[in-house]
Amino acid sequence: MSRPGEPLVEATEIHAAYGKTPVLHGIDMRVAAGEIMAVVGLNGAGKSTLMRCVAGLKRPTAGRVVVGGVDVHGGGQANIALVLQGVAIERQLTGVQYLRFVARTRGVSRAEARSLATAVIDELDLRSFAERRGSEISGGQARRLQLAGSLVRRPDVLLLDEPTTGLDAVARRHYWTVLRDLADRGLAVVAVTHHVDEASLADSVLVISDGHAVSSGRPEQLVGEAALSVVEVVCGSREQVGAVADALPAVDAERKDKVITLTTADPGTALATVQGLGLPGVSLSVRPAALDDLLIRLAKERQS
Amino acid sequence: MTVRIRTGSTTPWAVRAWHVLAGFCARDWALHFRSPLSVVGTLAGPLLLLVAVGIGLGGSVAPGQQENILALIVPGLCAMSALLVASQRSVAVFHDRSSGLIDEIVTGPVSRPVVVVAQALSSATLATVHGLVMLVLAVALGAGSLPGSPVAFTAAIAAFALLSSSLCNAMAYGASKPGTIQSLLNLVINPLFFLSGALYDVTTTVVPVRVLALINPLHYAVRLIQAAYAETPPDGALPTAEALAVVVAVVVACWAMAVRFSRRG
Repeated sequence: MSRPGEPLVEATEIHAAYGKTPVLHGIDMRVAAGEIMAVVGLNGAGKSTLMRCVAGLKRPTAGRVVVGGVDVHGGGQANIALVLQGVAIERQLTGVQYLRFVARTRGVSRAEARSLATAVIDELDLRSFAERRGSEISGGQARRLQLAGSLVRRPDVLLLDEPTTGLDAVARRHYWTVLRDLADRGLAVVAVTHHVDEASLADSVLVISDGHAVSSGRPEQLVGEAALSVVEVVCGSREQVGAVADALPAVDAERKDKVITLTTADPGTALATVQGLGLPGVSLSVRPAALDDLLIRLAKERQS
Repeated sequence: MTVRIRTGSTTPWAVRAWHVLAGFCARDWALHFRSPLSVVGTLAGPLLLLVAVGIGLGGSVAPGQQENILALIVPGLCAMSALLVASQRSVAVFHDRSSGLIDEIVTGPVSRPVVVVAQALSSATLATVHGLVMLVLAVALGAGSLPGSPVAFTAAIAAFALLSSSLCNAMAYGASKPGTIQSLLNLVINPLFFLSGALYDVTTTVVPVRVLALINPLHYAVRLIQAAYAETPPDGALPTAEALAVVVAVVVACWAMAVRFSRRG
């Protein structure tokens, strides 16, 4: 077991490409034991490719990945478990059978596989549905079983690629509670997600856009440093929406029906601009930007 | 309770590989036999063919000919049943790969070649059992006799099952979409089987069919089955050692292809 704070994942200047198309441009990543890092970004940003590089599945064109002191692409065997969103629990297998199968694919004996399966069922409190078949459990329970499957490998580092996709808000929150518990036990957890609200549950956030790391740090630190506000303009007609949108910076403004939302460091100017249009029936409000507002803005800035 | 297993090399490589194979076998057998349609589907086709061709033609051929026909097609139908299982399992192998399960596994202390070989052997064990069950059903229906050497026949069926599983799994690893694997099975595997001489005597056919048989890997495994069933190799058959060498070479090539395909991101 690693000591809390001990660096477990150290990815340095990672470049990667598919064929001649570059997808990652010099990304750095540091995750310590006991830490949860959320990797966020829009679709196609390179999040999953980064995960594959860290897991040792894709060789970077440049850069180095060291996990637990082992150079992942230098022939060493790091103690990593990977959880991918596409893997499903077979409908005909019980949870226990699934966990034993996963344990055996790690190269352990039947007796060891049984012990490991029993241990993780207890650790993640899965006993109430572990004997049910995949066809008889909910999506949230299936995801927890899949997570348990990664733990039978007894990893130091847990890599999760969009683990909560398809889950409702309650199940997602519960899933993150389990991740927090695992981090508290000393695991380093890296979770790729495009649910930006989940990033606030992590200890650190890495924002990727178009293959570049555009920001990283603690969630509250990112929000504090950005010092952004969200201006919301509710218009009375489509014509007014057009007029307001034309007056505001296009990159930062988002239109939805008759509401325009602007994430900006200078809310005063935005308010003055809209008020200067002299449109009747338009209401304005300002609030401090939350983490998800910031992440969306960062990702969009890079894309533009 | 916490059980910790080291990821290092404390367990010998071969032992770990054996555990991986056992894990795949346990899962695949459970999945297969819990799907009645899978079991019935891989036996129904050959059985219908046995009834239609073997027994159905009984009144249309000269006395004594029916036994000759049955002696030829019963081992071929055993091979067909094994091939159907191999085809069916390859679709599951495709899902293992495309879902990311294989990537999850090879992130641990198990290499891709071990996983590829374990999947092929797991499919082959199921296919072998189905081939033997087909033989028992044929004998029970009075359509065939037990082979002179059950051990040799079992080994020949196992060789055919391993070859067909390896071929089908290589295609499953190469396919990019579910539709592609189905098409490959229909356009490649089925013609290979029907041109292999499993259901007729290749040596008595026209030259193009004989040439096609010579470049068809399934032909060599079928010859092994026919030789083991008849106890004596049919006229013009390859010596067993040469047929076996071809089977082993193609199996290894299929595994190499599957490993190569599996590395694609």
